[in-house]
Amino acid sequence: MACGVSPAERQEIYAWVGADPRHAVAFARMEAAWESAERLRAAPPPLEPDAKADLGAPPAGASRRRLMFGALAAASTAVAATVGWRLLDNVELHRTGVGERRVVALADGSRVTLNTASTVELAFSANERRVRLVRGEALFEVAHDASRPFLVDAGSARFRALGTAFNVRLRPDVVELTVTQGVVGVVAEDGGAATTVSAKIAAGGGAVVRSGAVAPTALDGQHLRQRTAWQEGVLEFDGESLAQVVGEFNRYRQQPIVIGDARLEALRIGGRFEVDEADKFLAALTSSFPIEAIATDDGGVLLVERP
Amino acid sequence: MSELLVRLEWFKAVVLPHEAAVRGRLRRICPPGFDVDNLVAESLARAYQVQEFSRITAGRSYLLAIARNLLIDALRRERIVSLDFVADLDVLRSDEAAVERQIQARDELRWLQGLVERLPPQARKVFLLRRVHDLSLATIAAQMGLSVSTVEKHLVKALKLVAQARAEREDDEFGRAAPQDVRLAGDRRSGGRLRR
Repeated sequence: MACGVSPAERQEIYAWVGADPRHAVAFARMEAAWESAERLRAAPPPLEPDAKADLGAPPAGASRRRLMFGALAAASTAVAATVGWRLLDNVELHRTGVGERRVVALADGSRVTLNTASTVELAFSANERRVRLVRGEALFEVAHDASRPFLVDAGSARFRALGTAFNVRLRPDVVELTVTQGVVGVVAEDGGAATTVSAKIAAGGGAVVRSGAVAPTALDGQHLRQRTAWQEGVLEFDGESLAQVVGEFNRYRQQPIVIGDARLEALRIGGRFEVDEADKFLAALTSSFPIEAIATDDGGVLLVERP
Repeated sequence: MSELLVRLEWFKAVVLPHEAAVRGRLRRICPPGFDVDNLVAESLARAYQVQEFSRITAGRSYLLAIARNLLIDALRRERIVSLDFVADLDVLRSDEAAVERQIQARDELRWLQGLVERLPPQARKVFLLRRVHDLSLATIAAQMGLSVSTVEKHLVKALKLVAQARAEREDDEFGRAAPQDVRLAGDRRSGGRLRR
């Protein structure tokens, strides 16, 4: 069972899932079933059954359910192959909800710290450690292993490391890399085009990647700290616009803070806040500026200029 | 491709958990012989396709609204709609707050345990060894004296059965049907409200 699934095969699987919403539904169902069984770890059932009715046959009187069984069975022949690589090939999914933060310790000694509303997919094999940042933001602290590169796919960017620490954030339009230790190789993939652009980014540097382009960015100590402060659950600002600041807080909130007056968006903000201390931020904001924070019915906050 | 994965995550978290409840409601109000499962499948597929999925957080209302519209279309096509039935459709209007009964982790675990108990013995053993005890397929194969591909088949079979059971699970299996559900539990199928 050491058969790894190649990137090309994965691509094919995703293509199948993407080709038809019914495939996607069937795929999602199988995955949800697999994930739900996580709970069984809390109280593992005995391996041998108590000799009871088995579920293989539909319960009596369930004839109207046959159709459903039939439909699922047809779909799942294809899904079996599809789901296979996730279940059988040791692919693990880790995710955090809004406002959550989690450290995942990996078998090879590496650590992945997930920021709010983030998902990673891990597929390790004998010759590579493959990770996909599906959404959100993660900090990778990679244990050195020269024989197994640590590969991170994130949007249109691919990162390659041996033993380093770096942060990757999927922003709406770009993938943002921040390297805090060692060197990270970056490849920007253009959808299908033959040209790939690559760069090497060393500790203390960063890059933004967007389809086919890698732009290294110079970072000073302050920037570096800012970009990784989330690990301590902290947001740091140094002259960011109110719009940016509110955007950062909203990543951690179910109900958003909304700027109700475009003139306020450009206000410059500095300070250091806990991610879940939006209240303190709002109090500071309303006491230092002529701004009013109005609670909305849905639990959100509306910011307007004080009349 | 990332967009696809994000969409799948959203679908699993927001929409899919309500499939069984929506199917249950549809069964209560649909005329006999009506293909509820097909309606549910179509509703799920449409729900999955929505453009700006990230805005949709109230999965149950959303899925119910889609199912309701599809049902109205279907019944209109068959020209069998009576006014009474349209009134019944209100069952498909969800007030998320009232029906969003969080199934407690304990209940969920108990339900899963019951389900695993009823899996075919081989499938159950493979499923538990892989999922709960984290053994590799090769190890499981050696331990059970089976080929890896047979082990795979058992695993997929178990997974399929768990997925089916989840899709069919009705709320009342948790013994906590809402009062309005109880009132509506009367048999609508033979109620003569619909002319065929």
